[in-house]
This record gives sequence, C-alpha cells and structure tokens, in this order.
Amino acid sequence: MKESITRYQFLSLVILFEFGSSIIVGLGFEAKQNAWIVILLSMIGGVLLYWLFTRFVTAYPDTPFPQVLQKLAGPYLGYILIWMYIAYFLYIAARVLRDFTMLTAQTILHETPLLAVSLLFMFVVCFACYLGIEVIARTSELFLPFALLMGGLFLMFVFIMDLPKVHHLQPFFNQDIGEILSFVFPTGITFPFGELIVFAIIFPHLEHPLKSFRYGVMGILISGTILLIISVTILMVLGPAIAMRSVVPLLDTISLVNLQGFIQRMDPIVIIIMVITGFFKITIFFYAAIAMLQYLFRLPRTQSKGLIGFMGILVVILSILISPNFVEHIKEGLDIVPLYVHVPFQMIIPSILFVLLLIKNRKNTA
Amino acid sequence: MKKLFRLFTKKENSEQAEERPTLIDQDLPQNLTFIKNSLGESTDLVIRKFKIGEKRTVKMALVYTDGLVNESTVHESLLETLMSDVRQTQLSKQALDKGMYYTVRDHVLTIGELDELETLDDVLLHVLSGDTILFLEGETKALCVSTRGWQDRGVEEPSTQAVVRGPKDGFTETLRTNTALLRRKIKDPNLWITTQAIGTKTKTDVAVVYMNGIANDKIVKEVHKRLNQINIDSLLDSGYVEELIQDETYTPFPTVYNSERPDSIAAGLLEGRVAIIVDGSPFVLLVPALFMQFFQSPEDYYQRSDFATLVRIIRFIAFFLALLTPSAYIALTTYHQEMIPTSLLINLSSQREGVPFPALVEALIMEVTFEILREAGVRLPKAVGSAISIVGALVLGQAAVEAGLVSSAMIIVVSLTAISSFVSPSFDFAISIRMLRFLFMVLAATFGLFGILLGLIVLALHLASLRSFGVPYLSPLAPYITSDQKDTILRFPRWGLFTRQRLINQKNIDREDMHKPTATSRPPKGDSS
Repeated sequence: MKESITRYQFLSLVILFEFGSSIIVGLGFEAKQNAWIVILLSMIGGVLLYWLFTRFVTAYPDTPFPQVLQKLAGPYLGYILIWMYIAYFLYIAARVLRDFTMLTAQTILHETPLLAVSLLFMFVVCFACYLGIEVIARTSELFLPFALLMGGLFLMFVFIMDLPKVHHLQPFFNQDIGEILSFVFPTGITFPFGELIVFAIIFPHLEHPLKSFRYGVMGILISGTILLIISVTILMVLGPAIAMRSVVPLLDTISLVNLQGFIQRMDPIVIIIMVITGFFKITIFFYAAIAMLQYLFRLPRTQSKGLIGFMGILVVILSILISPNFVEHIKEGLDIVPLYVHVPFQMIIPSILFVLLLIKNRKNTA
Repeated sequence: MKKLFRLFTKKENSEQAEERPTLIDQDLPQNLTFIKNSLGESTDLVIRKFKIGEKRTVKMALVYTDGLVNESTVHESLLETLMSDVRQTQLSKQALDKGMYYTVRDHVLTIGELDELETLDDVLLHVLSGDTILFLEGETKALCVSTRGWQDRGVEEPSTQAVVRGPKDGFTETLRTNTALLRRKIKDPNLWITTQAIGTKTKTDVAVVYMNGIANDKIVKEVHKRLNQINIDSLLDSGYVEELIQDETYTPFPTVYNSERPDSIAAGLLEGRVAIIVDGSPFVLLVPALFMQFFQSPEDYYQRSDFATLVRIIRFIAFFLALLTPSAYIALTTYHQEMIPTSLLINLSSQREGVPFPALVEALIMEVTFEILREAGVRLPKAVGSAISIVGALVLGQAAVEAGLVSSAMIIVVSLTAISSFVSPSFDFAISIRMLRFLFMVLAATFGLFGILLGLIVLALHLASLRSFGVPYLSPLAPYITSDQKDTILRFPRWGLFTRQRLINQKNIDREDMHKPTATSRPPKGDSS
C-alpha cells in the first residue's frame, strides 16, 4: 500500500523541518543589524530553489526520486548520483545530530556522555523511519501546534518583559549590499531553505502531488516569517554582538525573562522546541537516505529493520567522528559545508538535471 | 503467535469436520440413550416420556436441561397442550392424515420459535442452550422448541462509567436482553443484528450490531472476517474477542472500546461504529475505537456543551498529569534544579535532605506502593475496604514522610498522579497510562527532560502508527480533519453536530437535514437568549 501524506501534514513537515536547528542557532546573525534582510532574501532564494526541486515531480509524478535521477542522468551516472545523495543525506543527518547532541549537552545534560545522548536520539529517529513516512507526517501534524505554541509563549514572555530594544537594530544598512549578499549566498539560502532538496524524496508520497506544491511554498513563507520574527526579537533583546557570539541565542534570550520572581527560567520552552524540531530535521534527512537505500536494494519497509539499525549506528559514529570539538564543528558548518557540500547538491546538480529535463522535453515534443 | 495459534486450531477443526454427524434414529429409546450417554447421565438433564393419540399409541419424549428453560412455558405450552388440550379439540381429518409429527408441528404447539432438527449433535447443542426438544417415535426429525429462560441479573446501574446525568440502565450477561436494550433506544429497521456461535466448547453467541446504511461496509465486513477467523475452544467474556480481533497486539493502548452503557453503545452505532455483543458479558465492544474516544464520556452529550468541553480539556490535562508528573518531578530534582524557582527549590531540597534515596527510587517506592494498594482495593470485600484506605492514607502517607523514607513533595506527586489516572472515563485507557508512567520515570532518571521529550515523541509515533479497523487511531487529530473537530476536544452545541465522523463513516454523513428546520437545528439569531 502506498503511504500517503495529506497537504496539512506536508505543510507541517516543511515548517518543522525549516525550524530544525535554524530556530535554535539563529539565522543570519553574522550580518548583525541586517539579519532580517538576509533572512528575507534567503527566503526568496529558498522559494526559487523549491520551485526547481518540484520540477522533477511535475515531470515524473509518482516516480521515486532515485528513479528520476536515473531517467535524467542515464542509468550509470544516475546510479552514482543516487549514492552521492545517500551519502549527502546521511552526512547532513550526522551533522544535525551532532548539533543537537552538543546543544543538549551544553544546555541540559551537562555530564551525560555525548554518545549516550546521540544513541538515544538516533534510536527514536530509527524507530520513526521504521514506521514510515506516513507516521512521521502524522506525528509532525501533532507536534506542530505545540512547537508554534512554544514559539508564541517565547515571544509573549519576551515582549511582556519589554526586553526588545529597537536601538539594537540601528543603524540600518550599515553594510554595503555586496557584504549582505555574501551572507545570503551560500549560507543563508542553503541553510535551512536549500535543504528542502530532501523533500524531493517525499513529494511522490503526497496525496495530490501537483496540487500540494503551493503548501510547500506556504510552509517556506510561514517558517521564514516566524524565523524572521524570532531572529529580529533575539537581535533586539541581546544586541548584534552577543547574538552573533551566542551558541544558543534563543536560550540566552529566554533566560532573561523573570516575571515577578515567579515565572522565570523558561528554558523548557526552548528545550521542547529544540528537541521536537531537531527530531524532525534528523528524521527527514535520515528517512530520505533510507528510502533511497530501500529503493536500491528493493527492500520493503517492514523488512528493513537491519538496514535502518545499521545506518543509524553509522550516523551516530559519523556524528562523533565528524569533528573533534564544537568550535570546529560550527566552523565547518558555517564556512565549508555550505559552499562545498550544500551548493553542489542543492543547486548545481539539480540545475544540471533541470537542463537535462528541458532537453528531454524538447526532444519529445520535436 | 496469533497466526500460529490460528493455524493450529484450524487443523483441528478440519479433523472435526470429517466426522459424520449422528442422525436421529427412528427408534426413540435409542435416541434418548444416546443423549443420556453423551451428557454422561448429567443430573440436570430432564427426559419426560409420554404417549398421546386417541389410543395412546404415539410415543413421545421431551428433553430439556433443568434450570435453562422457562418451566412454565414447558408446562403450559408443551406438556399441557400435548397431553390434555389435544384430546378436547377436534382436529380435521386432513390434518390427522399427514401424520402425528406434522399435526404436532402445525396445529398443536402454541409457541413462537420452532425449529426442526435432524442430527443428534444439533439436538445436544440446543438442549444445552435451553431449548426443549420433542421426539416422536418413528420420526427422523425432532422438534426444537425455544423455551429459553434462566435466572439472570436484571438490568442494573452499570458499575463502571457512572454518570451524574443520563440513563442509568446497564447491559447484563444475557445477549437477548442486551440487544433488546439497544432496540429500545434505536427503533429503526436499519439496526441490523447478526449472530454467530464462537468457541468450539462454549458455543458462545456473538452478535454483530450495526446501523445498515450508516456503518462503513468495509468495517462491517472486516469485523465479520476477523470474527470468522477466531478459532478457540472457549469464549467467556468479550475481553477474549477484543484480544483476538484487535489490530495490534503489542501496544499498551486499547484499540477496541468497551462499555456497559447502552446509551454509549447506541451513540456509537449512530455514529457508524459496529458493536459486538458477547453472550455472558455485560461489556459490549465497539469498533473502530479512536484515541480521542477515551477522553469522552456519554455524559458529555447530556450536559451543556460549554461544560462538556471544559471537562474534556480537564481530562486531557489529567492524562498528561497522570503520565508525566512523577517523571517531571524526577527530572527537575535530579537534572534541572536551575529550572525550579529558587524559593521552591530551597523548600524541596530541605525536605529531601533527610531522604536517603535518589528521586527515582523514592518515586518508584511510592508508585509501586500505590499500585499495590489499588490492586488490593479492587479485590477486597467492601467491609475491609475502609481499613485499607486508612492504612494507605495514614500509614503509608504520613508515616512514610515522618520516617524519612520519602519527602512530602513526593507524596503530593504520587497522589496527584493517582487521582489523575482515574479521571479517564475508560478504565482500559487508565491502565495504559499507568504502565507507561514507569517507563517515563526511568527515562527521566537517565536523561532528564530530554528523555521525557524523546519518550513523548516515541509515544506520538507509536500512536500515529496504530490503526483500529483501518481507521488511524489518532484521527481526527492526525490526520487532521477539520470537520470532525466539533466533537473531539471541543463539544459543539447540539445544532453544531450535524455530520458524523468522516473516517468512520463515509456514506451517510449528515446527521440532520440542514434544509429542513427541525427542533434540533440551529436556532434563529436573536432567539439565543
């Protein structure tokens, strides 16, 4: 039986996916006061990229993404591309897992070994992937209201305390346009918007793929807007200098809340957001890799316990070996990964595929 | 495991089918001896031999089980008619010519339900079900007269799912009474009841009840299919059926709803669900059962809608309290002291100062104690119950704190959990929360808040993967169905509940004709005062 996802489930998957890590570590704080311009521009770029990713499904509806790759790039090159994408998704899953285990360790579990945290987290992710995309989508639908509620509570508390100060946003446009654009590309567009390439695997599961695409755009716009509001709020509370240096700006912001000495230490709000969104981000990446492997090995979902378990352990090991410490991990994430990993997989390969698609269409019509 | 069991029983069944059924013999004493021997000369078997006819030539015998038949029916409708009334009436020549058997069948017996049997196996089954069998010398057929009537519990107020306002009748152990209770509520020809006997030894009657035209045909078919697959020797309660037909065995959550209340089951039938009544059990099953159903009580529909909504929200909060209070306490005191407001933290730690155990052990001691108390309370005779509550409340509560075994905050946590776990209108559902609570406590003790959150995610994933007779367990929350939200957490006013739930029922959705104003439809504006 085909697993199918409704439009609302798709929307909530996109929103939670976009929130994953970006809402926690903050978006565009390198651009200081101009973070909001960076987010806006990145969002527009994200919508364009998303349009590009959907082209493959409009051309071949109901065809799994790996098959599309083989159709467009030929069986051999396509095969290589499939493995490259599997490696990419697993690598990003490992990176995000590392992000979240580090953040968890720093914020709430100070003395728990990293390995234990990542193993537990990965176990849940594997369980989700074993149950399939339908279950993941339903769960996302269930958690979206909670995530939004927590975000709403965050904003409410911060504004009740009158923490945001407008002067932190001034002066406007103190950087030239080239400098701002350098934050938009490659970092802003690729993370988190370009990562939507992973949804190319999920598109065929949509109930009405062709009609549901606008819900994806809606998801990008909603999540982008909320990210924008939260980032600007954080900037106004902490000021650009602290916001840029902080590891978890969201947590630093909420820890300033103290209402009448009673409502204070609202950290659970941030931790709930962190775990929920992080879970969905890792799960979607991991699921994409697993789905492609299942396609390659012709394994039905119910028989892939071993595969999922093995890949889960691989991701855990990878997440720990990826870098010796958090500083290096972040540095890689900001400087190396966007340009040398994200850009090829999110822009260059899909663009080439798109050109191939156009050529193929022209041949067919001619 | 279930499949293996079925395979095993099916083989046994096919062996049985090869046996030839014993036919009724023309020789009356031989038949009677066979019955006597088959039942091992059981003392409750009654065989009454007599002769009728003008010259007392026709030998007859009545066979029934004492205690299972209505004695007065047997005496008045059978013995009296056959032995005395017959002689006083003049039967036409035509009727007599056909033979005594047909005369008795068509003209003599003054009883409603009559059947003809040809094999002695059938005879045994009917005798043991409370019917009376009439044998005639020289006939290969026997007449089966329905004289069922035995001592049973009357219709009483149900002991579970009590309501403040609403009907107070409850199902009984007798299938016929139960179907009658449903018929009394729904006088519609579309209320269809089909019955089958399940259990090779117990031959328990199991009735499938549904509203034709409202219930989803696929679900009805699925219920029949699963019931037909059951091959078991005994069926003593509807719990057996529930376990054999549920979608998923390895889940703490019930995917079949049960109720002792006819109004609750009738409401379910009208929503398009299918009820399964098992003879001998006052608990009627209802499928498909959804997660949200366990937060709803029949009383919600008898109270004002605003109040019902509020109560449902309270049940929801109680669900999370029952599930998470002890684990949250453990997580906060063990890992996240910084999240507790300082003054409260000082209080808590001064209380915990003298307690020698870590929070998990402390919580486990009290939770296990409570579970033991509860289990003891269920089994105890009422007279001893008050003694237990004194021991529980005073000795284990106050004294445990004074002895320094647990902190008083822990007592509050445990009591809050205990009370919350009984808020759910469904007892089965409360059991699942109580089991999961311990898992969450362990998660909290090892990973703190992070562990609890991951546990909740796993719980949500598990719930999202469950189905009850093909309907997603979490619907209408996930998959989200806007039109069904009116009766999920919220309970809209009566005029707002105009459609049935979408996934349970797909054909006949409208509950009331929106174009034809009825007494229940939306009142005109301005009339709301």
